[in-house]
Amino acid sequence: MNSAHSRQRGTPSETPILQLTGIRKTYGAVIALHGVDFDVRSGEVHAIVGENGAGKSTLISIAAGILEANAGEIRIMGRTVDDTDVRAMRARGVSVANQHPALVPDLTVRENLQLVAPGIEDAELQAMLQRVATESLTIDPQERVADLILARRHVVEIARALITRPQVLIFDEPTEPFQEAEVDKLFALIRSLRDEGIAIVYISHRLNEVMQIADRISVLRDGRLIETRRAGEYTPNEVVTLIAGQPLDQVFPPKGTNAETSAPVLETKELAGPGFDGVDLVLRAGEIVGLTGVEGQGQREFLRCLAGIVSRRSGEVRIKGKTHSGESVPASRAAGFGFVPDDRHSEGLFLPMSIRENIGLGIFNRIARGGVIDWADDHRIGGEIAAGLGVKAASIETPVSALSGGNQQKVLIGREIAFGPSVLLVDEPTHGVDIGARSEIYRQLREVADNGTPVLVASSDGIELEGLCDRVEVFSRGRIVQELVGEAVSDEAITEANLHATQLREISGVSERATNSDWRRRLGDHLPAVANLVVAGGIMAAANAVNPLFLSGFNLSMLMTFVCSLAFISAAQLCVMLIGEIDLSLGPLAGLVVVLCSFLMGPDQPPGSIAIAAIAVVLMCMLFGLAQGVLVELLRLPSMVITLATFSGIQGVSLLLRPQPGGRISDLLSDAIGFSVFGIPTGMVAVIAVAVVLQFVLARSSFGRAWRATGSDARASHILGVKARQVRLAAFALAGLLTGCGGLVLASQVGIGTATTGVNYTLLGITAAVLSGAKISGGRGSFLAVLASSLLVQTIMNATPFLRLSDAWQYWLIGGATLVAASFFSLSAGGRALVSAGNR
Amino acid sequence: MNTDLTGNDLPNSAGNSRIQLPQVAYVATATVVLVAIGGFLAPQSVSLPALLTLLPFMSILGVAAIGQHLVVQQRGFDISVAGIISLSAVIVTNYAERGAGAGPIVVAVLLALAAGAGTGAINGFFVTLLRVPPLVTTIGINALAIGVTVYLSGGVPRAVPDALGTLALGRTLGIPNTFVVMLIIAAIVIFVERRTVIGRQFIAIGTNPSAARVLGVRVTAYSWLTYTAAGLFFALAGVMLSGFVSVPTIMCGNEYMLSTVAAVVVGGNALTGGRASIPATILGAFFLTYLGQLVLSVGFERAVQDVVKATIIILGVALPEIVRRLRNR
Repeated sequence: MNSAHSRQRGTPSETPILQLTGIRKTYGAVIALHGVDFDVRSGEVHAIVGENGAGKSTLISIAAGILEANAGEIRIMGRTVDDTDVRAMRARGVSVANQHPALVPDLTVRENLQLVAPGIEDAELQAMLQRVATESLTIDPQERVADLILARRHVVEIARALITRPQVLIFDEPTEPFQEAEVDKLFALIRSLRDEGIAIVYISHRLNEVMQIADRISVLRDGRLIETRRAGEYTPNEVVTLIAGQPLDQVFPPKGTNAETSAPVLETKELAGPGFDGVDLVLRAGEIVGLTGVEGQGQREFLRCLAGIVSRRSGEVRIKGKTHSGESVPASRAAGFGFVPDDRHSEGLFLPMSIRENIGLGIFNRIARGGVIDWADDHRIGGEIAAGLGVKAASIETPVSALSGGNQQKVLIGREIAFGPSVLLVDEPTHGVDIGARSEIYRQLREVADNGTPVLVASSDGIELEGLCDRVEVFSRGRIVQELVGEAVSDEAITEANLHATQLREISGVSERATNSDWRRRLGDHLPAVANLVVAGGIMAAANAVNPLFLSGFNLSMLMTFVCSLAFISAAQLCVMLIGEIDLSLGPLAGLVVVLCSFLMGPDQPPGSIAIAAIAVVLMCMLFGLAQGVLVELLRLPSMVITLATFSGIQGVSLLLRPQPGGRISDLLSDAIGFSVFGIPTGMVAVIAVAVVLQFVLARSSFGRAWRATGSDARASHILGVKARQVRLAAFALAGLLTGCGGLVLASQVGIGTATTGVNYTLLGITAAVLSGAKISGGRGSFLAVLASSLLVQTIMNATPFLRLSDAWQYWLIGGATLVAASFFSLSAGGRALVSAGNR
Repeated sequence: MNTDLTGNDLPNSAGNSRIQLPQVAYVATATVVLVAIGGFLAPQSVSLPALLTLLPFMSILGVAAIGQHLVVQQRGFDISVAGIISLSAVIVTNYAERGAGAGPIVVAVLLALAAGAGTGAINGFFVTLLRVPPLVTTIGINALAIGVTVYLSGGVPRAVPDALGTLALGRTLGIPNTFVVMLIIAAIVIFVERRTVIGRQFIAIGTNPSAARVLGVRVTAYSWLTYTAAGLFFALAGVMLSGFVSVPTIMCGNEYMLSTVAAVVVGGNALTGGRASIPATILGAFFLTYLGQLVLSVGFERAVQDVVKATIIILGVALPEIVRRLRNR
């Protein structure tokens, strides 16, 4: 009966694979989703449409286990799901291709895919990339994601979502960086996946694409699911009205009337800058002009150039007839440009500061005299502005962080209006703003225009442009390619114009260079190690030339034990640096080991108890490292502060145990560590072996990938389901363990319990880690390079007396080397970062 | 219900219903509790003369902590406080003889302050223009500064000019001069932060550097200025310290590496930048100084101070977090 019943069903089947019921999500006082019901079935494409901030991304993040809902139920194949983390949801077959690719920049494409599909065969991986890649967007799995342009990252992101063979595949704005041919290819892929029976959720603000690909459409507005219908039952206009919540003429104020005749306020001639070129634009009093284009066509850069944030290459800007040649924000503001940035949280507002303070920051021209703020003006004007805009808050002393998105946006726009600009530039006026506040903001902008200040609006929302603007300029490849005026300003015309304009492909110099030279990339990875060895060799030669005793057997064996202890400690530092943390307590911890050894390893102890003591001390160090990790990880405390405190705490303990040096340490320890195998002490053999093993683990194992991933990009790692907490705790514990080993070597060197032995090793360890080329912010490093840099650091320390340099030189050389290396790596990484930022 | 700016009634929400105590209230409460405990364990430690002898130590720490406070507010961190304090102390003792008059002393003090500000400016250079993380920068600069200290002193501590010592130990109207200096510095910083354009922009950068940049605030200049000002305050603390102890050791600044951060943390200031309270940091400095004294007067060794301070810092950052989590349960 059951099977007969299921055979009667057509395609798509009637049983939802994924079903969300009553999903509710709040952030503090803000409600993002008010109990949403949504489902998707096998073999269908179910599109979700809605304005920015309607809750689309929140909803799918909950479906994918990235966010946790405050209430509601998730069912997969009819079964309720209790554990909704990323891994669990992925194991049940839910996978997302995110709008902002969740890829770890310091890992290669292959490693990124392996993070979600550990055991994958190389052939399968290649085949998957092949299936998603297009002719113009091919992918080399060896490349680091950081070196890929955005469109390629999107290709990898889609492959990453597919590679776990999901039953439910969610696409979040997948076509954003794609050209028409690539969109067609993607749609063919989506259709073939659908025909294989995969349930597909498709999110896009491009309505025509949605109408093309969707079987069903759900409209989301202000965190509520308004309705779901079969795609054929909608006309585009109906969808538009549903998205906006009411007929457009009720949301928007009437447009301006006599703009064509008024005098020009802003004129740009042949304006060029990064991403745009040859832009001629005239803005007249009383009008609101929109800028549009597919993402990345230069419209935002043009707006930001006028605001003084992006530099200008050539061209002219005239404001009220006067030439404006300034290239800084202060110059632009002085010339009369007010600017509302796109992302109010990151660029617009100062969230912990009050409404009054936020407004005041933009209007010092009105509230300050001679650099001193007038208390009364500050309060009065702030209050007037907030009230005039209808900001809903307890008082003007309320921190902006406590306001809703709409009220925050009102504060931001109010600040720029109050500044009294000659031209108001607005990037995305209503991102994440509820419908009520949106109308209010549109009304305000129109009022500004009616009072004679033209408004220039960049928006990706066709409906907004249609309702608000008198005129819309379409950007493509950095130029204005079309102007829509009057009746032609419609969502449909704007979408049409955007799609048919040829698009700008980002400059891809970086990735091309990297593709051609695999060996260069490999060399680049090992360059710091080689450089360290070369410099160390040079110093040795110089020291030996001044004093031939430098290369004597005695000094060399001493140097080797010093290198050995430092290599352990700097490897420990690298363990935490890889996850983007730092451990200042490693030096004193190694010192504490020395003190403990002086109690536990007296000369009269038998070898067995010395071995047991050694193991116990190392284990204690590991537990200590783990404890620090727990504080940093579980309580999210800054490692710098925790370990600065333990730095002095451990030092105190050592001093309490050994106020004066004392307690001989058995020679058995130094015999064991210094026992020579073909001229190399066992300690050295051990540290080299440890470094090789750790390097192998780091480079090749899944643990190593997770290790680098969490340091490289915590957000992407979380979305990819990396078990960050375990990995990070392990890194801290490992750091403790290695420091313990380093401490034993130190103990064998000094032979007596001295409380202060380890203190300098914190600095030396950090120096060695920095010199090894490890990325201080995490994600990249090499244990082999740390061996080389430890050799260099100890060679410097050891050679200064031979070179007849005073004690001060040890500080200068070490401090100087740290700064030079850190600056060098920061500048070379900075160059790379700038390029990838340009690709964003 | 609240009444909002437009005259409408607002429902109470999590954001604005809870009465917000000023930040300084928490550290003030902690200090009162500590002094009460101190009065119980070692009654003589709360007597007026005992507290007055404490003030110079607290003032020196306070001045250095204000420097650290400014850097932390700009999302930075300054380890070189240790090297700068040691360096300025050595400059004062090296460039003015024991019996030097006002002229040479002023020159030596100005030299020390300039060295501090200069070192701070170098910190700022690496952090802002070369984008080296503050921790690594100040660790490196700290080593360089200690190198200079070792070089100048030749490893031998010397005595400060007697006149400077007398000034540092002296009192005006019964109040220690060092305390007066700290109050003046604090008053200036508080005025600038609260009432000037520079101060408002400075706080804005701490809470959101990108937004400050979009508003045309010269973030790099401020950041540079902050490290320079911090270096100046560290050097001033070093001068006060050298005058007060009369024969400063070569590494006399070392303990300030931890204790300045501790004062900021105990004051309840976030180490991630943003809003911060100078009075809270100063109370934090008092708290730590009194605690250190109490540990000694109860009869513990000096090394115990370090352990206690470490514990206080960890509790200082961990407790608010634990309380927050329990509340969010």
